[in-house]
Amino acid sequence: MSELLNQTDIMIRILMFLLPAVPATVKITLLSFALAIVLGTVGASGRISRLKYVNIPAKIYINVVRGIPLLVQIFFIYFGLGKLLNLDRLLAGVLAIGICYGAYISEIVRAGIQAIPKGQTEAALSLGMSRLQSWRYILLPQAFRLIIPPLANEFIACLKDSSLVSIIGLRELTRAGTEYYSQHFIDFHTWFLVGLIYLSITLSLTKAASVLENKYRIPGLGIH
Amino acid sequence: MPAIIEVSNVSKRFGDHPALENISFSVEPGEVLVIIGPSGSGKSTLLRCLNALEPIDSGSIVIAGDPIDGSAKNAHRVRLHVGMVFQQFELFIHLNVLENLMLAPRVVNRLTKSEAEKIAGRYLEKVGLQNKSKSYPSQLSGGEKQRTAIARALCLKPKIMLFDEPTSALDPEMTGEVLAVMRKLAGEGMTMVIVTHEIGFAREVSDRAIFMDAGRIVEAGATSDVLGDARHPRTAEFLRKVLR
Amino acid sequence: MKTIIFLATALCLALGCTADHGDTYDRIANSGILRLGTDATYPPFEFNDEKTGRLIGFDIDLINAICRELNLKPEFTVVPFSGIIGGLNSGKYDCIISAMTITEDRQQAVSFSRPYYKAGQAIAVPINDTTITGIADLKGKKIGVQLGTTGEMKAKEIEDAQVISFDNIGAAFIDMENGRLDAVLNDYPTSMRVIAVRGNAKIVGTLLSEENYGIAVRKSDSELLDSLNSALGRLMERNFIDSLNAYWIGG
Repeated sequence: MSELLNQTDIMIRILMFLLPAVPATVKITLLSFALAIVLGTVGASGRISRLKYVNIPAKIYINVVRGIPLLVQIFFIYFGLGKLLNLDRLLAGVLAIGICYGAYISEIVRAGIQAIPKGQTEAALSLGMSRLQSWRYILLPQAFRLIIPPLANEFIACLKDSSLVSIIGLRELTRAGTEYYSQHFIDFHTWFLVGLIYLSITLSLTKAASVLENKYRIPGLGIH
Repeated sequence: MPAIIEVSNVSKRFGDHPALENISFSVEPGEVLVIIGPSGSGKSTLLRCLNALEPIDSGSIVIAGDPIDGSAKNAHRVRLHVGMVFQQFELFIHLNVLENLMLAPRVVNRLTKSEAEKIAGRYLEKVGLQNKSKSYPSQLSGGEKQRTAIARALCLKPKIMLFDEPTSALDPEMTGEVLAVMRKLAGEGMTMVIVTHEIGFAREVSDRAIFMDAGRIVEAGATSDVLGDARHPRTAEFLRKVLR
Repeated sequence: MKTIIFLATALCLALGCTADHGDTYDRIANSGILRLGTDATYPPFEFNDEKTGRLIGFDIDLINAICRELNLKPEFTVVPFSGIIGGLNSGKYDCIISAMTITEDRQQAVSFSRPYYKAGQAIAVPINDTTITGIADLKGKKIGVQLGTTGEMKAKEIEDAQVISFDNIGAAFIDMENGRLDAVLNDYPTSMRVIAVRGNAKIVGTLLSEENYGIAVRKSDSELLDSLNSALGRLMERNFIDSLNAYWIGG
């Protein structure tokens, strides 16, 4: 019994060490994902556009970024471009993840927009709306509803990938775990707790996504 | 009185396929024109050209004094004169009935919420759907959807209404309620161009009729002449088929 | 949360968190293979040869010689330094030779052989820097270190210093070259080696501490430790380690 108490004590000590690193993980994830959504919307618009000088750069962006591991992109932006740009650690990490996820989200947004019948745009145009207005009021709101589930998946993946920025010295949850582990050599407890914290964040996110999905569900229409 | 729609020598191709060939006709204010013909004859394409949804290759179209020139700005102006009702309704599926009606008055005409609501309420009443204002399109029957679509177009107070087979996607028992609304509009003096297969209805409400086949106008004239005793064998054959 | 922690610890106890490897010595004797963990990013002690890609260095030569003494064949596993002790205790390999300083903290988790190399922490700064000349100047500075090293521990003791830990020490030097760090705190021989290859940095001040490198084994493997120690002793008698010193570090 005393051994069990001792073990519980260790767990709580590790938890106290890990928890202060959670805000950094959340911050990196939120900032990167916000950037990714902006880039994803721009990228999707570019991919759909018939204008060559918009379409081709968008295609290049998406294919290049998707073809390179995120880890390599982080190294490249932080160390590779270090002499040129000298970006702050956080900025470099957020840029790398945001640019990477922006490419994936571009394809999701594109699929969402292309899933909307052409007639919806024509109806908007015939009511005197401009192309931009039809995007703003018809296409994007409908596409957004369609892509909430895949977007939630990307968000969770993004949260997990935020641990990659520890390689440029950013201290977040995984890095805090490594630090504890490398000093105290307690492996099971440390990684169990790190995993548990990630899991509790992703589970609450999944819950939030399904609330969002229900809130914006179009009544009577089975969009999933 | 000058014509409100003036179509002269309009041609259009889809790739190698001629969709419209040398089409000319005009419509006067308050007139109801029906366009009939077999599927693929170009009648829907013609209707979409009147709304600048399809560009034309040659010829000219003048709507309420504004010639269509293919630019986005011009298309916008033309569409403000013209309301369009689609075969598949094309209600905005993420908005309820009231929001469907209010969106364009708000973002295009920049009306306040209460002004837009007033107009929307008026036209909902006109099509008999005031009790459905909070319903979403997916919760409506086909007939209710099409009446909503008509009300939505009317909210912008168009000078002309275009109907692209408005009852083709409906179950037979629902066509009546849509035709009743259209009949009411015709009675109020709205200028209307209707692509339809409802020959009986066409005879009843329209002043003039055009029969199209293979992208050409085969026969045009007063409805009673074109749909009464069709002189052209192609028209007669088509009428025999649809009236059977 | 509390219940979960409680359950987890119970689970942990049930699984027997610290695996028992008491039969290590017999297994090694039977197979003739000594399994080693090393972090091959640390020249001149352990790193990959640029041309051949083979694992080379002071430590590698030393353990090869020890294996010859014991009539064993070495088998290397390359792991990040921050996880190297965990890997040993979970049985991924049987000993660590990775320029590892013998510290009290580490002795809680593993047993060390007799010291085989005397090292110390050195401060490296950008080549044009004139402001930092010793440890007193590091207050409030940005200091790069390698995760889990004695350099990291030392840096964290410095007042107001912002310590940034990297997976390998090369990354810290690049970051300093790019102007984002004021200094790098690390073992002298390795820092010298990195500077010799990359330039752009220099060592300042005196060494901060005297540290001894040792070979680590699991605490339960005392027989293995004994044979490592006696092999080390024989090699020292023959001045083998001095010759390694001369070859890899240059006096």
